[in-house]
Amino acid sequence: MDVTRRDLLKLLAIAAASGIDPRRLEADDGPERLLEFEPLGNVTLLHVTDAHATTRPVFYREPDTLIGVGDERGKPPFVTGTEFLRAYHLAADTAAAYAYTSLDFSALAARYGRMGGYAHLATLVKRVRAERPGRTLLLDGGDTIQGSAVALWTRGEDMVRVSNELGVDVLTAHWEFVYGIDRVRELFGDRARTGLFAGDFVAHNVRELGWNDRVFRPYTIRRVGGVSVGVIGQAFPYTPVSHPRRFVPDLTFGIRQDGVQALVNELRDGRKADLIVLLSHNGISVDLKLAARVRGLDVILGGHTHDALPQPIVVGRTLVVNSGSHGKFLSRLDLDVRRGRVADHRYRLIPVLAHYVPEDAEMARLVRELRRPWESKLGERLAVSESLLYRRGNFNGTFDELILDALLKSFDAQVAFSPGFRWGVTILPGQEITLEDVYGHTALTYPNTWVRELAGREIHQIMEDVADNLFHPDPYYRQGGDMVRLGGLTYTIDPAKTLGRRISDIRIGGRPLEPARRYKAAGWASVATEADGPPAWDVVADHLRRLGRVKLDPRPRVRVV
Amino acid sequence: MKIAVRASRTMTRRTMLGTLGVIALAAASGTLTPPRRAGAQPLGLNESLDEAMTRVFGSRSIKDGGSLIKLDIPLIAENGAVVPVSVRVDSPMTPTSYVKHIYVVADKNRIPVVTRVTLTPAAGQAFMGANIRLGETGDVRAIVEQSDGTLWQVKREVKVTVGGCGG
Repeated sequence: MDVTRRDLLKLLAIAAASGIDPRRLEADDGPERLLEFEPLGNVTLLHVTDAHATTRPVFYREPDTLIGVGDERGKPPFVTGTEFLRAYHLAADTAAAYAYTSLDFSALAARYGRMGGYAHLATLVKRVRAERPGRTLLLDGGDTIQGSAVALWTRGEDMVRVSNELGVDVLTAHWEFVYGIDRVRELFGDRARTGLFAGDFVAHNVRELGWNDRVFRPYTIRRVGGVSVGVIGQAFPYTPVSHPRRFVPDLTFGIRQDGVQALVNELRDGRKADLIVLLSHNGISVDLKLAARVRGLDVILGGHTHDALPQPIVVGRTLVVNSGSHGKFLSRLDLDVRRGRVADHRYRLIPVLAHYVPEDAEMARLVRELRRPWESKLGERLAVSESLLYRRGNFNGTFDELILDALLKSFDAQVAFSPGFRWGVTILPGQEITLEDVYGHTALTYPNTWVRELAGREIHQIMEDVADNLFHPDPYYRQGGDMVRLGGLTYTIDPAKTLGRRISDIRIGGRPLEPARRYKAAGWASVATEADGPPAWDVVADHLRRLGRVKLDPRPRVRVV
Repeated sequence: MKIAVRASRTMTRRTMLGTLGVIALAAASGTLTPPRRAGAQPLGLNESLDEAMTRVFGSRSIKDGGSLIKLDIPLIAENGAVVPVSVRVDSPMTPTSYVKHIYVVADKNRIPVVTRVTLTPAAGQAFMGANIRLGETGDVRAIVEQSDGTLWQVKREVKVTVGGCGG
């Protein structure tokens, strides 16, 4: 089911019915029209994921580089820019192009404005619930409570409260665990008790080391539209290796494909579920492989890799949905479920264009209330940017360059490392960078910086290791995230090669890397040992205060073969 | 740290903390094959995979055991120092035909042959579980020796990563 230009042009009626001023529509190229949805069947699944604690609307530029290896190359989800538009029959210079791609980002962002925000999201969710009473389930794939200063300072509480206000029915997790397992239990409960979260928290693949006991409920069954819906929770499988072990010291995760199959069978045969949904934080490639190997999954609602897919990818009988990030999108999947089978479906990845969707008053009030204690601190203006600053993409983004510059200068280092996170808001040319924006790239529970000497061969080894996490031909070996960001050096990468052979021509300060030589390196967000340098937000904020104005010339840092 | 013990609850912690990277080891029958002592493979030596395979199996051919052996091990180790592995072999366990040994071999380890479990028909099923140590990313093999001397193997890549950089 492709989204064609004609589909987009049919939207007027619904947008008008949703309470938007129809006079504005006529002059417009159709942002409101993206909200149209003709209902279908007996079940509506709404899906949000990877909000990364963006309670208010943000700019977030989708990647310009997203490389697939092997058979994945050049096909969705591994397409960006014009290739992306072509794959989904979308026109350039439209609201859709703005939402889904990085093309003309600054200009289109100025035209269409920020996206997401829980108050705007709440309006859309309420509309759907009003239109589909008793037939709607709202599912959240996690990475919800991390990514902002307020979430960090309230240890996730602000986001759980807005999720409750939004009426999230089911949630699974990844970054939630960086607040530590005890905090996760307080906020979300476990098998034995409930937490602050009002919905069901599910994660079949989180087990206690040793006896392998499940910590959380593996699934929940909800009855909507006369249909029994089984939702299995799949937390991010590689949580213990992607973050410091101390946050989940006695737990083991993993993909547990056999476990998914066993739960599908249990739900289908034992619990007589009509529809089986995997609420997943696997990442898109793992979801696609899992869909091909597990029988009986009707829908996978996925997140983690932040892919915004305008249409589900169909694998056998499984619909694989991935719903982007940062609150930019609300996925709506209408299903006609008959006799335990999906007879028909209709889908739209609805862009939450804040200018075109009014705020929900109650949610807006809650968000304001939660932010109030911190507002003045967060609003500090550190610098003005003349350049477009973003993080997302397989290799260094411009905001990463800023972080790396801050590390290199503050510690007088030759090489700097910054993690290839996929979260982090975008700053437009001419925009002020606030302290809140800096936290939007650094707000985690292991923010400390480090400085140490590394041998050339160690630097190379780290780069190879991370590249393998990103480009391993078997998705089950990937941790998600992007390539580690590097300052002070340039390199060539061939993603199609094998571990240890992808990276070549590493140069530090323009000179070839010497394996035995020791270099002064700096970084932050250490996973292995707890670092003792000042937190990254202080280092970056100080750097920006000193600069006053940010202007980044293009830096040809990575050559991709 | 908790130590994983499967199929046997009778072991003491000390029994499990064996040498040569075998931290816990239990056979399905509940009988325990003690870890091999340092005398068999002196610590401090390096052995290449080829040397190890030749030493243990000589020039005998090893067949692909994909349809016979289920090797269960994480694809990415959560902690390279304690990697749970189990091997289950679909085989009769009768006096005339049974699985005699299960080997676990980590190609990139300093001493690749991590363990050898000896089974008898009395074990009832051909299964072993252990926690092993992996030095770096590489293949881990399960090699099965049947009572008639036939050798089968499966292998799987296990990543031991510096980690980090999640989305």
